[in-house]
Amino acid sequence: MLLKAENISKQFNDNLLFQNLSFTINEGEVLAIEGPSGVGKSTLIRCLCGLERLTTGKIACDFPIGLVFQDFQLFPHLTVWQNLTLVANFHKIPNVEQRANELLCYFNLINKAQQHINILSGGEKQRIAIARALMLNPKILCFDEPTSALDKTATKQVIDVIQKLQNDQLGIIVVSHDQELIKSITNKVISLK
Amino acid sequence: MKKIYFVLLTLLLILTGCTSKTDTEDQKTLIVGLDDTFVPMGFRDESGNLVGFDIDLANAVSELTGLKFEFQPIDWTLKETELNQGNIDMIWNGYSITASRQEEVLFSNPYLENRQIIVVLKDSDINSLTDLQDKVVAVQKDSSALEAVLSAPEVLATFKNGEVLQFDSNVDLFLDLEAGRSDAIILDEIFADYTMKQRGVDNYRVLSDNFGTESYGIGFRKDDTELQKTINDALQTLINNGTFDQIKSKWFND
Amino acid sequence: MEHLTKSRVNGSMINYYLEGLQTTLVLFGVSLIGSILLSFILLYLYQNKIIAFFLKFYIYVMRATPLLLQIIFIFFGLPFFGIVLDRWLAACLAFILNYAAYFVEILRGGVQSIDKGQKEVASVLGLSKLFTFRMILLPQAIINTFTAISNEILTLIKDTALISIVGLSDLLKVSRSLVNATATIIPFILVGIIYLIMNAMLTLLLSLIEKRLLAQKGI
Repeated sequence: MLLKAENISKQFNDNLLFQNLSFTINEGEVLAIEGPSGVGKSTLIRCLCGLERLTTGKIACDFPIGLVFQDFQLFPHLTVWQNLTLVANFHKIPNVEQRANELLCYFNLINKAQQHINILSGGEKQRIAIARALMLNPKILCFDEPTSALDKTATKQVIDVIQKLQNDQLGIIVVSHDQELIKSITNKVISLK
Repeated sequence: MKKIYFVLLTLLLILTGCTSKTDTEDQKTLIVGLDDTFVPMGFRDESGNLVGFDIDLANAVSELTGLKFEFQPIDWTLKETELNQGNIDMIWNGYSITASRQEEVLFSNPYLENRQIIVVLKDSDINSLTDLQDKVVAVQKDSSALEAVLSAPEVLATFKNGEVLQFDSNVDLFLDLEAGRSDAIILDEIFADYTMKQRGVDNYRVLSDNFGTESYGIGFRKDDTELQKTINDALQTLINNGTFDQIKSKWFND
Repeated sequence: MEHLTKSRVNGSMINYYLEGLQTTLVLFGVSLIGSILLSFILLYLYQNKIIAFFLKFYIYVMRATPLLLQIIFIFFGLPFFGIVLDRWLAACLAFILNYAAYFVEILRGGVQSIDKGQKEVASVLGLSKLFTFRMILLPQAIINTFTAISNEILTLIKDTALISIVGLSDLLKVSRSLVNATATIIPFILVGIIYLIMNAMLTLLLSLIEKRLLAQKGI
């Protein structure tokens, strides 16, 4: 088991976004969090990643957890290569260059290593964002609305990536309102109202 | 990024190293403060060298007494502050002895006579003090000319707008006079004579009315009585042995 | 720098101009580097609410009073509180404190205009606050605000002319002495031309740097 959430709830001002939620994530599992806009899906995933606090409840997770933002949040003043290696170097992760090359190859972006972020397509940016998160060897990877900015081809690529990560025994959490995406990859679903 | 910070920091240290004082100076070095535009008492010549009557006199005193002097240009309006704060030890630059200054500093014996004269352009219609009515009159900031004008408020009131213009240095006075913005300037005769010779004595006229005679002295801090005595004695010796007159004839050949 | 403005006896006019130029450039260099470095530090400290309160006051004072007054206060006023600084130190300190305040305000605006998500993604990626500031926020802030920063730098080199109030001979002071000595206004014109040249060179340099910085964003 990678992560266990026990009776978590989040109140934001007068809004009770979710309450009494309990779930687990295991290796190789894909959990989808679905629901209408504004219901608190993103907030839930942000709580899991430590960006926001829970009102009640506990999340037990001893493994590194990564997050791929909806708008990717790549570092615009750095090249693709620097985006990958900067963070890894901060954490003094060994074999940074090797790992970066591997990921770039896997995502078919090895020839874009020295490019600036702003000329990449949406799909390319997302793959870099995923690669950047993977540089830290997370055991759980969260995706916040991964397909909302993408076309059909790019969406297919994301699905492929998630399935591969699933095969690599990562735990995946996906926030999405894209039913097709959810249908094709998910093992478990949490619906927020 | 790290490299850039390091380079910047190093540059900063090097530059500040350039600016720090070296403390190899003898304890006895005294700092003489002056306005380096005051011809002919202490000023910079065309090559930027500090020259002048007071410079020569100070150097003569230095030779005689063994005291070491260093000259430090200052802002003239802040001369007493510089002196009292210890940034300089003497004000020696055609420094007129006046009652109000005597309250702030200790003066040496007077060593040169001077007058506060009024200078106008040659073709001006001003001939006397009364002609200054409604005219623009200018002096140097914080000068004894200013003090003289302020202590004659009934005259000051007749000037245009009841005020006297003040400029940073005596140079500015002549520039303004020639520009036609100031109708008359009041300043040390010694400075005026030298400058008018330089710029062409025929361009100007000196009024027979003036704002009084005064003497130059050297200014010390109030409690520096020992220094005052030493300098006074030295001045007297230089007067007695003819050095003083030598210097005088070098700078004031009438 | 001992020879500057002291008992100079063996100079020449060209050397005198050069010494004035040197004073101007050294003051400019020290003030520029010092104020920029200080502004980076203060910008980082700004994140602390308590420090921010004091910083706001400091910035207000620096921007609301004339630089000339600040120089006078540091050199002539501080001795009344027992702090006596020599001329160069006082001048550099005044310039550094003054310009750091302007740079902090500019950069702070630059940081605020950065997408909030940058801080969040840095947090999720486990980066320390200092590292995030140094490598993510500050570079972007500088790129975003470089035009405003350039303008301040161009102002700085002109502000160096204020230094004669504490008796140091910069280029402008030299020109005033020489106008007195030569009885012409040619020194003014000459020095004016030198300022024009310096400004042109500085402007060129700054725009080259700006191009380089924008290239980092791929622009």
